[in-house]
Amino acid sequence: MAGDDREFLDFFADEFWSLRRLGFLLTGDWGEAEELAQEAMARTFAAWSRVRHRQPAAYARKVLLNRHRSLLRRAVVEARHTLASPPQAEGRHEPQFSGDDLVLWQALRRLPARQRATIVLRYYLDLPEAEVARQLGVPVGTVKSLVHRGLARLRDRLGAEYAGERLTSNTEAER
Amino acid sequence: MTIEDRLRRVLADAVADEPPPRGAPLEAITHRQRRSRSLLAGATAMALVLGAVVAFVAVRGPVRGPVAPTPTPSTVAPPPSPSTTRPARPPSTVPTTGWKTFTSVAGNLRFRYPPGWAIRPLPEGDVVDLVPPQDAGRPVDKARFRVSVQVSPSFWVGEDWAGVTTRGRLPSGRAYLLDLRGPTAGPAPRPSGGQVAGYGSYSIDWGRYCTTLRGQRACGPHRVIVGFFASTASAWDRYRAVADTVAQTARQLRPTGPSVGDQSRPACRPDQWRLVWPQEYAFANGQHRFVLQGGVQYRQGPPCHLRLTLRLSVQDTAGRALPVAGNPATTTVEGDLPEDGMRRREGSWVIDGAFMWRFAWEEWCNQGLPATTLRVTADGGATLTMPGPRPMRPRSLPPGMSTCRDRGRPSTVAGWPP
Repeated sequence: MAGDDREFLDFFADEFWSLRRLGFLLTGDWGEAEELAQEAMARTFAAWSRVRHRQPAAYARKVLLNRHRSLLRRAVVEARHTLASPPQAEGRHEPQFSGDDLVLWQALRRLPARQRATIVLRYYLDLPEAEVARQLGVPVGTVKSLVHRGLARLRDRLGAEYAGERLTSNTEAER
Repeated sequence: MTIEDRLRRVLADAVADEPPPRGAPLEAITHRQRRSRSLLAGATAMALVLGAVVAFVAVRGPVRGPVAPTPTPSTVAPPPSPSTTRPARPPSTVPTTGWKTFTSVAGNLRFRYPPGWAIRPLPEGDVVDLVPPQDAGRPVDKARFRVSVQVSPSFWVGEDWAGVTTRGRLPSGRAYLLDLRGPTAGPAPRPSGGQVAGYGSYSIDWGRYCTTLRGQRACGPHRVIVGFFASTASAWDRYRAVADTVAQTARQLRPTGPSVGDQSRPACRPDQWRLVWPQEYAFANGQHRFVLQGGVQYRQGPPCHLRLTLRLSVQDTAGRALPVAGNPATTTVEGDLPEDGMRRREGSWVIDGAFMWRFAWEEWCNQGLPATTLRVTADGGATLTMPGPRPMRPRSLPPGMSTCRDRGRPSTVAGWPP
């Protein structure tokens, strides 16, 4: 077995599942997430000799983000021409949330794609702003703006505790 | 709980119960590869992959068990108590004899780095990564230590307040902020896929000039960010001084204008600007630091220069000043209008620039502090009034979550950065 291939397989074993989770947070659908992760891995393998020493995980993540954006564009076009069928709840694997967590999860899914991607990279992967900017190919100022706007929308969705009283405690006060 | 904390928990929980994949991921990939035009041209590579898959599965069994997915570690680690946090030490340096030089003409940057360290310019062109010789064969994100150097068209006083922040000057005279979240200074973020024992970043004032980075022309204040990550405490201890030294060697190729703008312009009149608070605030330092920030918006008139002193007063709801050390606090911002005025982009304020003003209130949740009002007043009388963070009430937090508690330390307010 060639060393490069073995190296890629190790990389695959390490990174596929985290890509799939990232895909799920972007799409809200494990099936789509899997497709995205596989696509990202396939393209990373195609470029392996070029990227193997240049943050291949970051490369794969960037491919996934770009692919997600392309699919969204295509979905918009398709939606103009077809009557979208309602989402099939049956068989879908959804996180079990309730209360404010459910509201937040649903609000997150309703964010525009770029805002959602920025929020996920910033708060799920805990990437610094500069790294998020690199991943999304936008200036740091745009990342700040997207995060700010995304959080503002989420606060609004969560209601008084976060939106009506912008500067409430950082604790959950007992009421 | 802040919305950021709740968000981190919800995102982690959303993927904690991960279903098994629909098919064998590697087989799916090889199938895609087969369909790919580029790999049709490379049949050899395809054969290698298929052979590798068979051999790999034979050796290791199925790629990481899909029915037992890797649990996602919580991204909301409780920050260490400052009582257990070792104080940040000043940057140390190592001899630079024999070091190599990296030059970026586009970024107006030159710095030195040790021989044997691998330097990997990233495709974006404005970032390079440095890894020590011991990690030269590893992917950058698997390196035990990494230094990233980046030129960024943003103001050097950015949002660096999560760790221990100190000011300093390079030997070249350029001012910097050093933010440390390492073994020596508090919690570190968890970057892509790997555990991190330490993280630090220099944000260096690189002055005003124009760059074309990633195909985008940007004129105005720039900064150089020298970030360093360590995956182990030993790597941190071993290489931290190298990262400091790399930062210390940073030089400009061409002189730049001052970040604070053109002081020869006429002074701005009060009707040319207004204070803005885009409902922007943050918590840091184990939730014990409350950071308030806002900006200055350009309104009208000819180009001008503005140096503005702002005063933050922490008051009770009746307008009486509270006994908080440093209250009222002051800070100064300076820049040119209209260039540096706070702007909206796609309907949202851009939190960046020379006119971003910031205040930090440490130990804001001490008992005895009533509901507060924050009043920011600028030269000339412009005033903003905002509700303050609420005093803490006892509650039980979810596991792993931290909150501000009265630690018996004095409550202080000051302009930020310190």
